[in-house]
Amino acid sequence: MEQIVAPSKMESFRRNLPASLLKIKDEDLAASNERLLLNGFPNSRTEAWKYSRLNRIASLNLNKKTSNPISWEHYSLTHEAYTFVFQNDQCIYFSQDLPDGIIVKEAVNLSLEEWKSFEINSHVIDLNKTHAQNGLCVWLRKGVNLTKPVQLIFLSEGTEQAAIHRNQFILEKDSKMELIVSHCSIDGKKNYKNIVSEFHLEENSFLSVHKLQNEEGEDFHFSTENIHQKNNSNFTLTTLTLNGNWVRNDVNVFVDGEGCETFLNGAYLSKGIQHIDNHTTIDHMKPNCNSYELYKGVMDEKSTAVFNGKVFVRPDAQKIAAFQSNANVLIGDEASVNSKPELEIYADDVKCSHGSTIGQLDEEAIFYLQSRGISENTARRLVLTAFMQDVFEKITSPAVVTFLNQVLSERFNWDLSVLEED
Amino acid sequence: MITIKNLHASIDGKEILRGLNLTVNAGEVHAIMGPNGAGKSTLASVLAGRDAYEITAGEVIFEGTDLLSLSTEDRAREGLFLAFQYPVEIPGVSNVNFLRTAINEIRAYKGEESLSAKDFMSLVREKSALVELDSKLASRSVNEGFSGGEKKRNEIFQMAMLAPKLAILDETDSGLDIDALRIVAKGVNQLKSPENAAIVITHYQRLLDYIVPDFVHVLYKGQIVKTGGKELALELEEKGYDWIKDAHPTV
Amino acid sequence: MANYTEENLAEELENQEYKFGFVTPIDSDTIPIGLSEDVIRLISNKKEEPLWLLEHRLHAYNVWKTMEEPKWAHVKYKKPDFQNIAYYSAPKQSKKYESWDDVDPEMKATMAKLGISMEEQQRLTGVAVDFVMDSVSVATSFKEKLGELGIIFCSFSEAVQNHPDLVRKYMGTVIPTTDNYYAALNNAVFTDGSFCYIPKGVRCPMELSTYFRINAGGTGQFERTLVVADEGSYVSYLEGCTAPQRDENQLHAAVVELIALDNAEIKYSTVQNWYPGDKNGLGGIFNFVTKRGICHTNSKISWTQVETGSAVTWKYPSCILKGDHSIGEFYSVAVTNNYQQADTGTKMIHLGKNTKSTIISKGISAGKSQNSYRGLVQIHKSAKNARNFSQCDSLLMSSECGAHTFPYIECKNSTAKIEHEATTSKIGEDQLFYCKQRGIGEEKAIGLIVNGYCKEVLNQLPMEFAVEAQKLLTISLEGSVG
Repeated sequence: MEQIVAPSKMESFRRNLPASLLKIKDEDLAASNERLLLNGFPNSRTEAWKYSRLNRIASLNLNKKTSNPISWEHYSLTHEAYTFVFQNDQCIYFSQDLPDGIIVKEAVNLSLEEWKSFEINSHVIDLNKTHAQNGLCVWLRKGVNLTKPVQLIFLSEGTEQAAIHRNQFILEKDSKMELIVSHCSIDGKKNYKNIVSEFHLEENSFLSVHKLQNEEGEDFHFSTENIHQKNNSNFTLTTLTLNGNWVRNDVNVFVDGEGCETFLNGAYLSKGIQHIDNHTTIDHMKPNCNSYELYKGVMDEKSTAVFNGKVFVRPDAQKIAAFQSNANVLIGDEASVNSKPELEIYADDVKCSHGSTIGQLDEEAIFYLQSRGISENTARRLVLTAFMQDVFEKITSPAVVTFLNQVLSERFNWDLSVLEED
Repeated sequence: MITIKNLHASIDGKEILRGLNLTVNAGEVHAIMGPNGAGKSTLASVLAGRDAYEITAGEVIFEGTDLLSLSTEDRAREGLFLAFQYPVEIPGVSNVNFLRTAINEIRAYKGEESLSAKDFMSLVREKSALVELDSKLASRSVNEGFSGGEKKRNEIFQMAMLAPKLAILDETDSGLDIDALRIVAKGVNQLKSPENAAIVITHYQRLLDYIVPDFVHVLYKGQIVKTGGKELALELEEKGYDWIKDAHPTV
Repeated sequence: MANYTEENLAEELENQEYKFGFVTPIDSDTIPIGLSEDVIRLISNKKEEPLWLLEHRLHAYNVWKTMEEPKWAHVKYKKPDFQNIAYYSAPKQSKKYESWDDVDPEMKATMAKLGISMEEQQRLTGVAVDFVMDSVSVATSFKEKLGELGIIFCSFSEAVQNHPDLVRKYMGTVIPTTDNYYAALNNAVFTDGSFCYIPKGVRCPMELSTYFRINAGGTGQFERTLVVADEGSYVSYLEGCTAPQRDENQLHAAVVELIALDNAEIKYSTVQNWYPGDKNGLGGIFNFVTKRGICHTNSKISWTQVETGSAVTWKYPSCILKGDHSIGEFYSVAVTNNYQQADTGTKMIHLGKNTKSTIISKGISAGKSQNSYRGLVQIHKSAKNARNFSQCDSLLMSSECGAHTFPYIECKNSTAKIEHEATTSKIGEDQLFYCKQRGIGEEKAIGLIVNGYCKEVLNQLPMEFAVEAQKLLTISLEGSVG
């Protein structure tokens, strides 16, 4: 007997979302729509969403209202950058002052042929494909070494607003650039942000990405980075989640060339009832590559963190060295963490390892500092900073370091310069 | 004992030994000195049979047999011993089990019967005393958690246990304090006999105060460029290696 | 120059004959294939079971029918045809032998071939043995001596007849009837197994051992083991398994429950050597086993397993650390070769305060096999000051095999300390060279290194089992010294 089915959560979630403004192949769009219709939101039985429940997101009542104009300069980390700013679904600032060798377009202006694709699906990517409003696309020409970073700022503003963007970065052979992606919210009333960024690193190209998430309020943030690396390319992603009500980061690196290096670093600091989820996959498809992954987090109050790091070594991808480490400190009595480091190895001449720790601040160290006349609060701060230090040390961008210092000193009264003097 | 003729060896296409000649007779101690990168450790590795090295020319006759045609383990069974510069840790394998396996494999090769547990243990006691090695180390895993000095003493202990014809000591003195050095040297000296020989590879003359060599060779850019008596070592200590480098700029 | 490499060892392992592949030509009473309520009634009837147990079976069966096979394990196999299995097979004259002399000579010969000589065991080593062939327990030694201490060690069927209260009180308290697909199936059709009860304050003076043997073709083995260690008692329990070489895949779906009451300790060791299939992956046992123990206050359960057999293994001996200060341990060596697949590990569920768990897992993969560690460390809100240490290492012996690590770490208490480490690597070239320079041939060198690599786990086994395990790992014996 045929049952009468109530409109699914996915349907009602998508009800007020406009269709994508980006060019996409009809069959890809149809496939995404079909999957969303068929599968809806994943539940906790779906492995990748085991620890991140989507109920609160599924019941958002997204709507569109006119955005209030805001000045973005306050959110810029540096003037010494080529800056592009999006507010909710709109591009509100587009740097005109670009050197030779770099082409930048808004995503809406890209032709179908200019989009490259990834063979990877998730409900997040499908929602992005079907509803993306804009994004930034960058080509760096062969041999170009961009001396100033590209700065990309996503601001969310209003109540239950959606910001869905798709970015694409293509680095041609021997090129090099630095990218700073910064996410902020103005008042953060249950906004939904879904940003998919795709990176294509051609031979011998170098890309360093700093991603800063510092969103106040009750926003829901989904960030997906898909990376394709060719021979001898070098990719670094440093994800700093300093604030965020509900954050999910998915990083998928396809190391499809020999002699590549991949660095994934992450720091997450959560408080209140925040939920921060980092999912990473490094897929070693070719031999003679190294990857290094270091994620560290401090969870305060009732917050939760999730880390899932997967290293995959395909058959014949010999001589791979892959190291992964995840360390967590629970400072809140009701804080919790779920860590799942995974190795899937199908080649034999490899050296892979992972480690995961969960613990507290070293009380001995705190006591020692106190015995030297340092107050307990300062002692805790020092020990926490020391714990996070090896991730912070990986930050190569001076603008990001300055910003991080500022945020951490405002929020935690941390002083990173104390450590630098050592 | 051993004759090395015009030995050329390279690693990853880079030539390290470039026509090395050396003859060592029974009862002799030869010291090989030279600056960093001269090829000292390469020589040790090549003689022991590390397969990362490619022999491009030359021959090595050890007790009448063509050494280079033998596998690593057969070279050891024929009586060639290498004291490693960096002894390897083997977790979970006890020192005694390791040595007993080695001794019995060597005995089997020679057609001899296995050593009984009792005889083996009395040999362990005798030889560990020689290098003042704590008998507890004998039951610990091979080199695991040993200090630098213990590792080196363990090498000499193994040498004593296996009683080789030719011992090659690869920078056994590096990283040892004076007491440890004395113990190691004492062990080596006690093992000396008219039937065996030793090649002592070192960077410093210091060791040669304790192990007195019959000959000192200077290895530079893959060749032996100078040979003398023990006084050559003192001269090197005094003048440094620049003197050799200046004398052989084009080697 | 003939160089003996890992490939040679791998090859040798591959070609090594499965020593226990013989079939005992003994008449069996085997019921027709197929699974239905009638079959379950028939089994229950044959075993002259009380009504409550029949009802238990029927309940399990009805739930099982609604369940789905678990799909999450990293293994691929053809789902067994449950209607094509005979659920009960017993060697004829399966009445328990009154004395050792009554035992069928063929049966005695089988045991001797398997290295279990009951008489010798009795005389020399003082290990009490229960021998389970196919669906029934054949013989149990040392009963009287154990009986003097109040220790009950008998087949599960006997326990149902003679100690129904104990069985009913504890059975299914650790692993619920419908815990998972294969546990539910076991609850419906289990035929025999071992039962062991150690009274308060008694330290069992000898190792208790059960030897499981699948003999008849076309059957499955569904045994149950229940070990209850009452307050302050101690027992060390051993389990061995073999099966004949056949082209078909035979199903082994066991349930093992351990109960350690306050201050008790259970040490449970397994050397699993079910037939792994031939080198082309034909045949072999599907080993889908549910093993779990519960620890009450101050008690300890230690699982040690050496897994070398089976075509497909799916097994996670676990500990529920319910009582404060309780301890759970898991030590495992899993070797896979040819087309074998193993997905094994443990679950440590920390509920009580100051609970501790240790996980040491060593995987060795060769041939075209797939070897996965899957583990869960779960710290609940109530588990103040819980501690866990996990070390999972994988050694790779061939370029076509796979080694995988899937640890889940869930922490809901901020006073917990958890450390997890995992490594995957090839056998060390430097170690091999060092051994060879000391005159040790490559084969022996690999043996030494692999043995050393597994040492932490092998050390946990009782002496006799350790010896068997080392042989199984094709590792030369360590001398009596050191």
